[in-house]
Amino acid sequence: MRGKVYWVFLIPSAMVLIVFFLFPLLIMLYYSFLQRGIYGGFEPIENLKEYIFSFAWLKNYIRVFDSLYIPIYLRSIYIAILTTIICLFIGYPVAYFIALKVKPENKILYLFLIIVPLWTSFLIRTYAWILILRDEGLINLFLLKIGLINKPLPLLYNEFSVLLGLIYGELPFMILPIYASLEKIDISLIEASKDLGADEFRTFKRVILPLTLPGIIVGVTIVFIPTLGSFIVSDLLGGAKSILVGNLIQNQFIVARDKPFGSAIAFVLSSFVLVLLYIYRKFWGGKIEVL
Amino acid sequence: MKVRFLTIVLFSIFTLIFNSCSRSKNEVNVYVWSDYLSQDVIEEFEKETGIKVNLDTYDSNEALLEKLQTGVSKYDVVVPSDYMVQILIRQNLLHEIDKAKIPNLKHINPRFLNLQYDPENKFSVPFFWGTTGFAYRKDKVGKLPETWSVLFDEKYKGKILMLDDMRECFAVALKLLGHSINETDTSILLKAKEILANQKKLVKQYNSSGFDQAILSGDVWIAHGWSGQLVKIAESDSNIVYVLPKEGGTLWIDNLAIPKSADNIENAHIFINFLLKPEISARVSEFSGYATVNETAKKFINQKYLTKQRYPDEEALKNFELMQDLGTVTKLLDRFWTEIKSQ
Repeated sequence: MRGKVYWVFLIPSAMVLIVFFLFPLLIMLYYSFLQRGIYGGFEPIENLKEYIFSFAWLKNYIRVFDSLYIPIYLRSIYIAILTTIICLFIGYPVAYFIALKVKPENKILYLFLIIVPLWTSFLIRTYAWILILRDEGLINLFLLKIGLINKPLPLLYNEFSVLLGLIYGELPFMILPIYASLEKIDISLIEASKDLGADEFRTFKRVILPLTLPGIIVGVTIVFIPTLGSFIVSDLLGGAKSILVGNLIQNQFIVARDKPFGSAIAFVLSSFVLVLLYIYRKFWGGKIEVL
Repeated sequence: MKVRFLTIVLFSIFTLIFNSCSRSKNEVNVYVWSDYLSQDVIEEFEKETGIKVNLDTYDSNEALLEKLQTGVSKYDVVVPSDYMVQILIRQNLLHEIDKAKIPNLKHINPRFLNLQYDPENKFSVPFFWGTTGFAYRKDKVGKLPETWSVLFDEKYKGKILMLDDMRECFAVALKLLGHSINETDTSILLKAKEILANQKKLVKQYNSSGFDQAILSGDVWIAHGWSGQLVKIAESDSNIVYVLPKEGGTLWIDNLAIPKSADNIENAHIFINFLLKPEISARVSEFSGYATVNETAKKFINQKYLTKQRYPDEEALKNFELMQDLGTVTKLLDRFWTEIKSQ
């Protein structure tokens, strides 16, 4: 009797996954095979058999690979990779510092400082960057005042501000998993390495880095994926001047009223991410279980 | 035993969720543009009629269409603009309005009635109107001619803002070429696209929500935008001038309408009639910065708001047009717009 009851406790999480993840995904897949109606919505299918055999349902997927959109995908991937790399190079030292150099009683304070901005909506924090970066913003006013520049630096509405916004938003998600894996390292391993004559750098390379690889992998994954699909930052901080794949999808749903095409792009993007994750698992599969 | 307990728990959670969805009877669910209705107007309506108002807001016609198309949300009064009324009618999403229940219709300026998008006003009642033009900072650029071509002038590179709105940007280019904003000829649209593509390097940002703030703060010197917000800042800052270009542009009319899915049809009529009361229309117009279509209401509006900027005359509006839905051409425009944005 007792053993049989436990599956009941799986219901809530299974329900959440089915209702909020699987179900919408299936609807999206279905949409992506339809055609856009004139006023949004969908073109009704008159002859299902003909529709299937004429491969009309593939139209949206063929359009996804139209040469018009390829530069947008490449740009999005480039920006996502750049953001991830910079986050890693800033995030690792910060995590290292908090995990190994800070006094144990102060760690909580440093972690708190990293987490606290997440309590405010990302949208509001992005707007705050507009106030900081714009021509009459904090930075430019300060630099003008001390006489370092005589006309405002163009800090906002370009590639720099988009990258800055993305890095700013994703950095905590790089720091936290790396911190978690650094924290788990047995200090005696580091001491052993030093006792055996390895210098600081060698210890880092041969002991610490391999042990924190799982954290790095998790950090890279959870920074790269949202960055690839983001659209708010390029809209607000980029002045909506260049499109990322996230904007492309959003435009299909809101402006062009082409839900089927939007769904198709979203599906191709998700599949791309899944393939990446699969490759990850294949190479570093065993190490991801840490988190 | 445990299973039964859990079933009961789950069941009560579901009933709770569904119960909170069903609302009390005497109310009206209103879905309007943000910054449109002030709290005191809502409170006055509730006090006068005893009907509770549930207010929800949106910031684009397309967002409204999306909500009504899914059919999940139950709204009783919505405020689509002209071309969106046309789309909603064609999609059979609007409820016919019983004019007998809206005696205040008599106050509306006939110029705004029986227009192409709803020829007999069977489904919509005009409420506000305005234009799309541009504003500039006199203190930075001096006095400018009243033409769209200043938005394409190399001199103002990096100091220009355009609405992040496909149709409005194409309207500017089409007017510069001497065509209608509702042009559907591919070769003309292609020319318009090239004009906008060349302009891109001059544009600092495309923005449809903060264009007034951008020019007010001096971030840009020339801003393409809607009359409501731009006229408001031009009135508060004498350095800012709002211009209706001589080539013409978009004229728009916002309309009150009742969605087909509405639950409280009776209350919706009462609410619409209330908003059309001259003194109420006047207050809403002063608050939002938009021009009222209600002739009688003008008597109640503070003289300082009855300017030529808010109420341009027929002469100034000569070349201004209502936007129409372009059907499948939207797809082509979207392609052009994507090309411009991604280059």
